[in-house]
Parts: sequence; structure tokens; C-alpha cells
Amino acid sequence: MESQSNKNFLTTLKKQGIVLAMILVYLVFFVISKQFRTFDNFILLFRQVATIAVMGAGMTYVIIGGNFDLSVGSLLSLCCVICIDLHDKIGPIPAMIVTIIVGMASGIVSGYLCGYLRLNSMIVTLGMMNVLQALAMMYTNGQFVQMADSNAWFTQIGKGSVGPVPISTIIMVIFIIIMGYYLNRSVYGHQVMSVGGNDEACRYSGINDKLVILKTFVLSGLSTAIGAILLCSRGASAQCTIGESYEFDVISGVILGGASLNGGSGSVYKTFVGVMILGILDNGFVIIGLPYYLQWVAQCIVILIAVYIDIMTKRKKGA
Amino acid sequence: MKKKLLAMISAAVVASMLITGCGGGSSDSAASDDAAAATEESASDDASASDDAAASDDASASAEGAKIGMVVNYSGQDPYQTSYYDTMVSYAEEKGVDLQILDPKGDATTQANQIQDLINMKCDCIIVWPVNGETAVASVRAINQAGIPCMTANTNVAEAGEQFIKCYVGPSNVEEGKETAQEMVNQIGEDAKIVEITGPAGYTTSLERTQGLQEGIEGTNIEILDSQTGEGNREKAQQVMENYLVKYGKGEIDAVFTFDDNAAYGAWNAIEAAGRQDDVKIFAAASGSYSTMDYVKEGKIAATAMQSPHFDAQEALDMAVKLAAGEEPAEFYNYIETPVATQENVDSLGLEEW
Amino acid sequence: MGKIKSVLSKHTIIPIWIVCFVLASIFVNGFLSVNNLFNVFNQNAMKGIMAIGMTFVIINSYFDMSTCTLVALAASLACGLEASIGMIPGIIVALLVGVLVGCINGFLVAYARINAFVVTLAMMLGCRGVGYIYHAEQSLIPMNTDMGWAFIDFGAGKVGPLSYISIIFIIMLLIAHYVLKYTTHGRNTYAVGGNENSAFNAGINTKRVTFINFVICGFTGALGGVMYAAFSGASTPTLGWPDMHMLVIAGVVLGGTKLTGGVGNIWYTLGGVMLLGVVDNIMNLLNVQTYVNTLITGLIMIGILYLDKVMMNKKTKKANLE
Repeated sequence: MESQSNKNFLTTLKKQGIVLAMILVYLVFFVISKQFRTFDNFILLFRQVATIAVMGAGMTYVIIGGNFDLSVGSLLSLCCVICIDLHDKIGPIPAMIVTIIVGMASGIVSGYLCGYLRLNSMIVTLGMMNVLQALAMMYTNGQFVQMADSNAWFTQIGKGSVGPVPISTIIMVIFIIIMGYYLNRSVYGHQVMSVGGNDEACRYSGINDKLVILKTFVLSGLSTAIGAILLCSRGASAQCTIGESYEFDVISGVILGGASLNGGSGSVYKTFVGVMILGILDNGFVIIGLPYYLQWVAQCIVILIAVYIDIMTKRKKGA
Repeated sequence: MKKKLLAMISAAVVASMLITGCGGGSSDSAASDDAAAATEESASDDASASDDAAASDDASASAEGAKIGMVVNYSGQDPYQTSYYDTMVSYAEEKGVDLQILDPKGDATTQANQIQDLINMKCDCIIVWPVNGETAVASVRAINQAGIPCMTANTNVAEAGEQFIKCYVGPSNVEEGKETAQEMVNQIGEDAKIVEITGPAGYTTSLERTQGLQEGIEGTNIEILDSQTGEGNREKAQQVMENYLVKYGKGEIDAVFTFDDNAAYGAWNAIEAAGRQDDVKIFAAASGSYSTMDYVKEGKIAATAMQSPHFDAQEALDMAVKLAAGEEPAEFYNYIETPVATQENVDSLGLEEW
Repeated sequence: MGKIKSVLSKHTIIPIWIVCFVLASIFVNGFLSVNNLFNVFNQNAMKGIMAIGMTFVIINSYFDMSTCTLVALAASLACGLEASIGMIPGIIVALLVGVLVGCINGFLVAYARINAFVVTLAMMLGCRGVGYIYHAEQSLIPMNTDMGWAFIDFGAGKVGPLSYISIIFIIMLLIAHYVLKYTTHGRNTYAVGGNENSAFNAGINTKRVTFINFVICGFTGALGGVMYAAFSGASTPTLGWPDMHMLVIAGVVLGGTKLTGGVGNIWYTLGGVMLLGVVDNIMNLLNVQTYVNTLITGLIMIGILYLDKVMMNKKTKKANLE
């Protein structure tokens, strides 16, 4: 009986090669560094990945749908500056609502261009990246935006915690569970999978593939806006380049989580694991005091090994 | 029929974009309803603006009509560079200078291309704010070979390129780092342990300020335990500081030395959240934002060299006008003043607000 | 007449060029001068050289993100090794490193079957790290010797209005055209990019084709880096970061080469890269503020893509009717 459950555990583990990779990465740092082992650092880790993990959940949809969204970094900047700026002007709740609307509106634009006009998503969102960056710069005129009271309750979203658990972590977990559930269990989730897998066939089977694609971008915009709220509430300030190069971290996390770049497969939960691996690397290398250029080399190697483990476990399963 | 319609629509799309481009250029001087006329207008606008300014400012008689080209580093990236850019534009208008100012957005090769563009525009003098001191060498050489007087501003070109420029106007980054570091030694004593948050990786200014820090603490027992890049981003700086605070417990570090005030804000956020304000002091090598004075006043930042973008830009343009008129500079290095502000002297510094 | 029309609708980059060119000539002062146009060509030759290799990889239905930092690595090796082993050997080492990176990419993608995005992203970080280590955070200048100055003179040198770098670019274009069109490898690349399975069934060694294409891309990336080093007379570890590869890919795709693979040619790439160059140049000539510049560049990118789509739709509709 016991060996049976043991075996089940092993097969699950083999299916989840990327989880195995994450545990390995974590254990390596755990053994090497005393400071890494502390509970404080464990909590810090979750706080630091919150934004990227939330954004990754939305990006997973876009990538499963067979597209890219390179504009999320700039959108994050725009959302952050809008949220902080409006906080003092119209109050925290309306500011958050406006931020979310801005995020979704940007998603609608990219989604329309990629879904309905069927333009290449990589170039469209590269263009959108420029446009949104410019809007953020125009909005702030290059200056910082700062909240008058850096201890308003709004900042508790990013800074506060319930017991030992940061509020941002709770929001992140809830959001990821909802997004994951929606992808796995809803009709829409299945539609995204099939559109990404083969959108020609979908069109003939009566799925409105254009709308499905558009929605993936809206979800990405939504999650970026929520990520922005988590990020900017930590510092109670924002600058217009705050989100620069976040898109790479987000997309890397999604791909590391095993979503196929050709669309059709992927999982929100595994994306979270992918993001966690990158987060652990970032945090761990700073803690053990590796110079940043060695960090990049180490990241290169760890990412390749992680993906390799993932592939090997999948192949064994197939055989 | 339909095909033609589509083609016309698409042509209109691109046309409208180009026109918005032109309109945007002139929008700060004149809002023109007639989009097609916008480009010509923007050209003549500058001329008319210079007439007005010249009439009111008799000191700049020689400046009138001078065509000065400038490449900056990356305006919009941070307040300092944005203020610098804006001051440059408005001060040029005030002095009646035809200023062609280009922005390579922090990319060294784009900057080299833009300098080519400026040489082709036949400027009377070219100001270069090098993205990188070394990669600018070939560019200033090209300017020199084209027979155009050239100067560097804010960041100097590497030593090998100094033979091709007339002078340098701007802060001394090494000096800023050194003076702030010396103030740090005053405040935390000679036996201390510090951590450092540097600027964008590979950025010359950041390297020079780190050099200043090292010169400033030379001969003391101060030890730099860790040095990581904040990538010129407040959130990244905060993240790095959080990691430091986890790594080094209470009493293990005395201060953090940051590349600029922006990184210092991030570090402050992390330190405040950890409740270690009394444990770790913040020293920012230099500050370009006037509001940093408040941080210094409240004791959040222990000391920093104040560097005014307005002063920096105006000095540079004044010098460029002289060069364009054929004058030779008296000094090669023209450093602007960057006084170190601390909580004690912040009110008596008498800095003009910017 | 009909023939011209069919050429235009097949190669959408040509009418897009005409539209942009005419509009720019009308609205932008100083655009339409021989000097300026050659200037644009010279400025973008380096990017063009990198885009050549990228074209091979994209036709093969992959793309290479590592170009972004490989540029800096190659540039710094070319500059840095000058002091120890001389200029020419330094350049050769730089190119070999490019080939090596291409080999690693190609091996991991083609033989180990790891996702190309992840592989090249990881190599991007790797090259970046090695570049910084080599630099030790400092920039490198190859100018202590006559040879160093000769290197910089080469970067700035011109034959008539064309720079030496542009001439290398043109030669590379012709070679690439020949390889794609007239060699087995070129034809195989199209076949593998179009449909890997059927290419495999047709007896093509698909793995080797993919491998070679990544090596080509690594080589041109390194060559582009060396040219950048010559052009700017020094190398900095930040060269190319963070979005050089995106601009190169954007150039290739705007030209009409499809990211899904199997479609494209080298002249599309030339058109696309130069189109982006012209947009940049227009923005400089208009002397607009940074954010306006950024905004318009973004809009134009999307606009060009839309224009391309409209014309492609026309073509497919026509094909359907026939």
C-alpha cells in the first residue's frame, strides 16, 4: 500500500519536471547559504516575485493562444505612474479602478490588432511597447510621481502582511488560483488551448477565434495592471521606466514553466513555478554575494539545466 | 475599386502618422491646425523665436543664429536627464540659439549615428553627452575631422578622445563620489562596514562614482562588503537593499552607499519597511532632484552631493555658444559646483531651487 | 502593367517603401538628399549584417535572441585582444566565438530539441555575463597602436558615399542571396521552415540544416559586433542591450519574412532593416522630443504591419478567386 502511494508520488513528480528543478535550485541555495535559509528570506522571496508571477498568469494565456505580448513592461510603467498619481487626486479605490481599466484597454488594442486584424503579435506588441512607454513619459514628463503620504493604507497592499504572510502574496496566490482554474475548467480555457493549437481548425468548428485571442490580451493587460498595483504600492512612488525589461522576466518565466511558444499548451501553475525559479536565482545570488555578471552566466546554465530536466522527465513519461 | 480604396486608406494611415510626428515637434512652440504646414512652420518658428529672444537679451548678440547640435544620453529615463533636456531647450530659446538636440535613448551606437546626422546638418558646434566615454572617442574624432568644434557635457569622453574636444563642462563624478564618501567617513567613523548599490551596469558615471567612493575611503578601515547594480531603477534598488538586509543582520552593516538619490529612495523604502532606520545610514553619491533636499532635511539620506541639472545645462550651452563663435575656452575642465548636503548644512547651502 | 501589379502585391515591402519614401520626401526637410540617404544606408549596415543571419534562422522557423549580447562580446574581444595577439587575430577570435555560440545554440535546438526561445535567451544571459567578465566592467579601446587606428579608420572609411562597412554588407547580401536561392542548403532551409515533418520525410537532414542556420546567425552576429566596434572605435559591455535582437527581428519580419518559417528572402530583410532606419532618420531630422519620437516609432511599426496585411489580403483574395 505504502509503496503504491510512493510510486504515485514519483510519477506525479516525473510529470512535473519543472517543479523538481525548482526544488533542486532551492535546495542548493538552502545548503550553501545560512542567510538564505532564514524565514525572513523565504517571505521576502514571495514578496519579490509577486508582480512577475501575477503578470505571468496573464501572459500564459497569450502564449497559449499562440501570441506574444512584449508590451507588458511598458504597460506596467504606465499603470504604476497612473495609479500613484491618481491616488492623491481621486482616492485609492478609483485610482485602482482606472489603472485596471487602462491595463485592459491596452489589452483590447493589442488584442484587436492581433486577433481581428491578424497582425504579427511580436511586432505589434513591440510597437505597443514604444507607444505605452511614450505615454508613460508624457504622463509624468520624465519626473517621479510620489504619494504625499507614504504610509496611506494603499501602501499596505505592497508592504503589509497578515501575520507572517504578506498581503501581496495572498493577492498573488488568489489571482493565480482563479486564473489557473479558469484556464483548466472553463469553456473559454479550452477554447484558448484549441485556438493556440490550431486556429484554422477552430474557425471551422465554430469558435470565434478572434474574440478568444482578443480576450487573452485583455487578461494579460488586467494581470499587468494588478501587478502594477502590487509593485507601486510597495514604494509609494513610481518612475516612468519602472517596468523596463520586465517583459523578458515574465516571458522567460512562462516559457520556463513549459508553455509551448507555438501555442496550444501550458499551465498557469507551472508558469508560477517558472517565475519562482527565476526569483530564487535572483535572490539567492545576491544573498551569496555573486557579482552580477557571474549571476548572468549562472542563470544561463541553470535555465538550460532546468529545461533539460523538464524535457527528460517528459520523455521518460512518453517512453 | 475596393482595392484602390484599401490602398488609399492605408496610405492615409501612414500619412497621418507622419503628420502627427511633425505636429508634435512644433507643439511646444505653436499649435497649428493645418497639419500639412506644420513642418515648415516649425522651421520658421525657431527663427522667429530667436528674434524675440535676441531682442530681449543683449548679452547673447553673438549667439543669434548659432546652430548648435547636441546628443544627450537618455532624457525621460530619470528626472535629472529630463530636467537637463528641458532646460537645454528653453535656455536655447531664451538665448536665440538654433539647437538641434537628439536623444539616443541610452544606446551608444544610436548615439554614434546621431552624431553623424548632426555633422551632416552642418552645426557650428556639437555638444556630446557620451552614453559611454570610450565609444564616444571615434565620434568626437569624426566631429573633429569634420572641422566642427566639439565639447563634452555631463560625462567626459575617455582620455584617448580628449585631444579631439575643446573642453568638458559638467560635474566631476569622481569628486562627487569622493566628497560624499569623506562625509560618510566623518559620520560613521573609520571602522565600518558598508554595502554599495551601483548605477546601470557599464555606465561610465556609475563607474566614476564608485571610483570616487574608493578614493574617499582610502586609508580607512571601511570595508565594502557587497556591491550590486540597482540598474538605475528604484524598485530594483529596493529589491537589492531588501536582500542585503536579510543577508546582514542588525549591526552588521553601518551604511549603504548608492549611485544616486533614486537608488537611495529605493534603499530607504527597504530600510524603513525593515525598521532599521537607526541601524543603516544612506549616502547617495549625487542627487539631481531638488526634492531630495527634503529627504536630507528629515535625515533619511545622511549626505549627498547636490547636482543641479539647470546649472549643468546652462553652463554647457554658454560654453557651446562661445565655441561656435570661434572662442577658445580658458580651461579644459570646467567643473560645476556640487556641494555636499547634510542634515546640518542643508538650510545654509543656499541652493537655488530647480 | 499587370506584371508590375503582381510583383507589387507579391512583394509588399516595395509599395510600403514607396509610400513611406514619398511621404517622407514631402514632409521632412532634408530627407531627400543623396548625402542623407547614403547616411541612412551606412548607419544601418551593421544591423543589416546581423539581420542576414537572422533571416536564415527565421526562414527556418526559429529566432535567435542571443544576438543582442553576442554583439557586445564579439566587439569587446575584437578590441581587447588587439593588445595581446594583434588586431587581425583578435577579429578572427571574435568571429570564432560567434560561430561557437551559434554551434551551442544550434546543437541545443536541433539535437537536444530544447525550445529555441529558452536556449537563445539563456545564451543571451551567458554572453552578457562573459562579456562583462572579459571587460571587467570597463570599456575597451583598440587605439594604442597604428593597427588600432587603422581599425577605426576602417570603421569610418568610405569609398565615395559608401562606407567600407556598407560594402561588406552588400557583399554579404549577395552571398546570402546565392546561398538561399542556388544551393541545396538554401532550398532545404525553406523546406524545413515550411514543414519540418515533410522535409524530414523527403530525406532532408533537418537537424543539420537547423544547426547550420544557427551557426550562420552566430557568425553574422559576431561580424556585426566587430563592425560596431570599428564604427564606434571602442566596445562597451552595454552594446546591443537590451533590444538589439528585437530590432533586427522586427526588420526581418517587417520586410515580409514570416516568423512561422518557410517564407522570405534576403531582399525583404534589406528592405525591412532600411525601413526602420528611415523611420529613425526621419525622427532625428524632425528633431522631435524623446517621447514623441518613441510614440511615433511605435505607431509607424504597427502601421507598416497593417499596410502589409492589407496588401497581403488583396493577394490572397485574388488567389482565391483564381
